[in-house]
Amino acid sequence: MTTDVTTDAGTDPEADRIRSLVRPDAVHGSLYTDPAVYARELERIWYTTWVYVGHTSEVPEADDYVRKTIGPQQVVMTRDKTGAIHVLHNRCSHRGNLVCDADRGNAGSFRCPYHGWTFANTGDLLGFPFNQGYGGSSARDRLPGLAAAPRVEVYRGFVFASLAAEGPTLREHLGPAAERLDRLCALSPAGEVELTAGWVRHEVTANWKMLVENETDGYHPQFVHSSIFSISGSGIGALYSDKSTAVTRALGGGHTENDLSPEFRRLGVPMGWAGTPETKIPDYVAAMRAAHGTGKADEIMIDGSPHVMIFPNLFVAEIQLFQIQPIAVDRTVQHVTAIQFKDAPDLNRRLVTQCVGSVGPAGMLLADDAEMYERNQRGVAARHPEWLDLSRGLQRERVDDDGFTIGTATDETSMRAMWAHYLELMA
Amino acid sequence: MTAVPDVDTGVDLREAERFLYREARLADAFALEEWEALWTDDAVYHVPVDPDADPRTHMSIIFDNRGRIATRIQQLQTGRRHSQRPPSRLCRSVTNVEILGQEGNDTIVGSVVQILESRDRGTTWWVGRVTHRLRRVGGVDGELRMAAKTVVLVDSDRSLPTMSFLI
Amino acid sequence: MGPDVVANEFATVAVSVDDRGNGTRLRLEDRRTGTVRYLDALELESIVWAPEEWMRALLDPSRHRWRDADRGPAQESLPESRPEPPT
Ligand code: FES
Ligand SMILES: [Fe+2]
Repeated sequence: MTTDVTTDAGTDPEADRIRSLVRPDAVHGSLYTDPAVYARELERIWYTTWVYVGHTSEVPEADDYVRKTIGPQQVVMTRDKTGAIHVLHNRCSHRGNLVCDADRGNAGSFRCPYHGWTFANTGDLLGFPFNQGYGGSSARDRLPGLAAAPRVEVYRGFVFASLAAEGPTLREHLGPAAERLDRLCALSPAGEVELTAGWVRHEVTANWKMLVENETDGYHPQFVHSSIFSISGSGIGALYSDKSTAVTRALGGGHTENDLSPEFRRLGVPMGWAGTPETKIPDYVAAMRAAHGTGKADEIMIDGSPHVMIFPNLFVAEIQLFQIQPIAVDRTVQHVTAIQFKDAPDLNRRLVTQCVGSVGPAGMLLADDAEMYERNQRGVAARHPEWLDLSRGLQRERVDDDGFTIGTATDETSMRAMWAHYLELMA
Repeated sequence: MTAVPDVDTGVDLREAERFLYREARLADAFALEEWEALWTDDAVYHVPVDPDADPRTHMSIIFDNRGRIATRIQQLQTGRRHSQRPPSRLCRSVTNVEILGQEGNDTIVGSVVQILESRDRGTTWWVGRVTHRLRRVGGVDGELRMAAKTVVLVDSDRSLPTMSFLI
Repeated sequence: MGPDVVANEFATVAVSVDDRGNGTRLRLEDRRTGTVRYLDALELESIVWAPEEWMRALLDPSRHRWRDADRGPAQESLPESRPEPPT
């Protein structure tokens, strides 16, 4: 996979143009609608940087595979007989047919339905019918197999791929976002997350960045979700009020979070963040205390799960995980599943129930978020006033003890940080 | 569950159809209280992703117990359910109605639903197989209620647009 | 009860232990063509011990089912590679 080589500033007119569309406190509406910008995003972001593909728990056994995506491209994530994870383009090396059709399955080898070329789940070409046409079986050595993502790395079970042969390592890319995944995994008595609940796929007529921005926008919940907060007596609204001690934090690399743990700590109740009293999940709480010791376990269970957007496509929102997939400049699929914690069956059931109520096409939260992305997309088709404002909280932004830029719970610190990183990749 | 059972369910095809058509009309019209009143107290409203998966451990599009059905209705009643502001324009047809069998006091009714939804974002055609579990409450002459409704959309495991009306 | 079926999107094979002979053997039926093969215990043991390379070679379509005609007929064109014993 080749990618654009970075061009010197000033010699690439498109880079100059994009730079002129992002200001410290505003972005230009065309960044959500211009097909040329989208094409460049695919090359420079989606096919270059680390993109979240899947989780090792989705391919638990040797020869398991699942169909996944990197932006609009189809890939297959496989586990080979040695246990290694591969991310292969779902495209036959003969004439380009889609090789895998099933969403998931178990197969050590794949046979293309068009002419029967056969590949190992590592991508190796194993053979093809009637090989005399190629001068015999030795043609295997000169013909390509399934193209593998040049770089695949796994962090705590989260599989990322980069279609660029070179670049920062996954750890460098994740930076402090890795600790947020640690915080998530710590909520399992076994220290592991499992994505075994299956996926709901929600398609929206909106540019992918509308979703990324919304994920850590603490300004909208009180408005967009007031209908459900008012009925359910949910405390979530208060977490995103101007009185909240929660913060919006820029983690670098375009990664951002709403850190709600100050509020959860104020509450001081184990599993208070999940709205689940410990009496309802005694097995889980006992397993956590046995695994970590009571003090540490309670700390983990009080602090709760992260709310972190790992650029460009992995969003962990406490109990659910979203994978963002652009499929066109104005179309995006949000794949969502309930996070499941290894060795926590009683908690896991509650998480599925809670998650199903909130997310997806009929979700009591996400349907309304989706409505906002779509309205935004239709709104920016009108060309004036041209700029979308990003200035909220700019004057009160500060740097925390760890050196991160933070704003209050409702500030647009996260969006500004996302766009700053976007410019680094795009211009 | 394809043959009409020998047991007299007390619900004939005509009555089942009448119930389904009325339910469809109420849902199309967002007659929320009347639609909610069609459910029993132990009702389950289910729109699966994978109809073979256990909804307690797997994702669904909708998996509501009676309490959550009420919450869903109340959310619509706030007038701040943005994805239904303005409400979708809906017209659904219910066809292929069959009595599939009886389980205890409940009559299982199968049907096909096709819904045209029109919104500012565009028009969506929703199609699925529906199973109703109908129960007569209040004695032999009592009214029918839904103890369960399952809608298996043709494209349930593919990408779906927002679907926040009552399906 | 019918045989177990091992299937993925690429192949569908019915698997059963057959005991009509003097001992047990495994009966494999390619459900997409009806072609049947029996494997006895020693053959199965040999497969268990066969190196991975051997299995990879077996998966080359040109090796058996889709051989060029000048290298002998493909097995699929035979009525049945191992005929069923009379019942
Ligand atoms: S395209 Fe796959 S074998 Fe020809
Ligand atoms: Fe939201």
